[in-house]
Amino acid sequence: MSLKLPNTISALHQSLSSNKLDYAEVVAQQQEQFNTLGAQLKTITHRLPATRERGFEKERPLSGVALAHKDIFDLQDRTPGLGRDFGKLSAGTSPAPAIEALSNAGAINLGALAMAEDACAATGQTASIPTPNNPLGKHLAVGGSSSGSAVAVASGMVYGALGTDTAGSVRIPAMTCGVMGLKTTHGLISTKGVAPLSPTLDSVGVLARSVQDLTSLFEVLANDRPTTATVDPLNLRTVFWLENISLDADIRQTIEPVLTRYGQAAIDLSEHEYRATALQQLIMVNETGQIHHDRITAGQACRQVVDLGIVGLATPMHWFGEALRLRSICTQAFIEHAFAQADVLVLPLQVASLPRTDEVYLGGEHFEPKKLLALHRYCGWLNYLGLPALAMPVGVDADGLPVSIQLVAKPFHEHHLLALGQKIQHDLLGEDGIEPVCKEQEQIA
Amino acid sequence: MNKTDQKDSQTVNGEREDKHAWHQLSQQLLLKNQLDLNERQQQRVTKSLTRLYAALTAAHVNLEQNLNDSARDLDVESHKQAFARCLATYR
Repeated sequence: MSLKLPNTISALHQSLSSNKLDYAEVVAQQQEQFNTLGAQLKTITHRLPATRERGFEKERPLSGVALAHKDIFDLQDRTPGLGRDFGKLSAGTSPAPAIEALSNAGAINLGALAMAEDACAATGQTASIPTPNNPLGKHLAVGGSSSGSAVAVASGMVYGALGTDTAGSVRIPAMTCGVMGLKTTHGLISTKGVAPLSPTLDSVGVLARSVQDLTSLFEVLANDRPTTATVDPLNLRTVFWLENISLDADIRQTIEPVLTRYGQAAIDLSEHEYRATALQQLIMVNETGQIHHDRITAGQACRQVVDLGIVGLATPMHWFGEALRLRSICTQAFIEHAFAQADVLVLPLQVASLPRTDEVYLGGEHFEPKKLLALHRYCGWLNYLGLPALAMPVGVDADGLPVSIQLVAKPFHEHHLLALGQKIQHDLLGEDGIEPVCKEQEQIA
Repeated sequence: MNKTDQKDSQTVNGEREDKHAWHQLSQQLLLKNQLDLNERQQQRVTKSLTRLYAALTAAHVNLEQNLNDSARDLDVESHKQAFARCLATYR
């Protein structure tokens, strides 16, 4: 690889605008990185040719920016593989609107990325296609379900990637690979052309190595929302939650100073979290059962889908109705309490050090269900409440592995999250965010 | 049998009855959904369902333990629209 690419999308755009970099060379370099790293990390399920004929277009904010996405989105003439297989040619299939919006902004889609089967797991372990490796170390688990998206972003295969989040499926992989992950407000970004797991809870999300890159991508996807330029992070009111939270000592040592530094006052959200978590689980099992009913009864669904879906199919439908009825009530009550004196909540995400593959992959020699549960402990409740959340690393543990927290805002207030996230990144991680990393070769050696 | 033993016995019997009721309920619903599980799988489902119900009742969500699984009166769409309106008020 000869060309050193700028770390962020805006720096790349600037270099192309000022002719410091050549568009064709930039595209070729990104394609080479994608192919080489993708093969090492086993994360590509489908390759697309990088089109260069359009050339650099200054007015398009993502012109020349290489991306790739979770294999859950419809592409032109292709239906996704969903972690089950490598997808299918399907003449007449149109790209999902989210994919199309990025393409219209000039982004180059290099392909589709591995994911947990049917988006239904907290790890990226797969049975029918290769399981991607964690660029932080082959022995470390990759979180799911948007596993390939996190691997591709962390390793520098692409600047950014789309994922989906039903119970943490953007935030968990981002956390395990030490990158940023934005779960958007439920319903803000169209889920048309996106295979559902639990439509009531599914949200499209974005992963990147810096908050600036998340912002560049988000502002294309939701171009009617206020930009971060309208927000002064110093004027945002914040609260943090640590009371009644169970954290490993090592993680507490890392995140407590961060939570208390960026949260101006303490709040206890335990009761809301407990209730919303239970209701989220009820909806997820029910909808997984409904959506995958035929595959479950035919014996074609993966173990995770069967485990969840069967419980859903054994649950009275009126429970599901009650969970839906209570959703507006719970969300309103939560917003009135949590956001009465705050614009952004600074909350725990990670409760334990990043697990090894053999601790959380099914069939692993040292499998510990508790470690698997710890991955998504503080995720699903925010899907029930429909709120946006930004996962970001804020430090390292005793082993030098990343430790992440999450920021949460009111519905449709992603610009608040991104503005505060940018300040935290600037203070703790540096201006450009996370450097690409690929320790895969070292681990093999 | 002393009072404590009587109470323990009642609790154990109550738990057994609960477990039996959950077992029957889930089995009937699964059969309606064309799923005929073996005993081990059925036990696992019963355990998960019991846990879920316990979590929901602990969170003060009132749910009836019955076979009313008709989607007719659920009005799923109106609940979903109400939630979308709820979120939109913060837009």
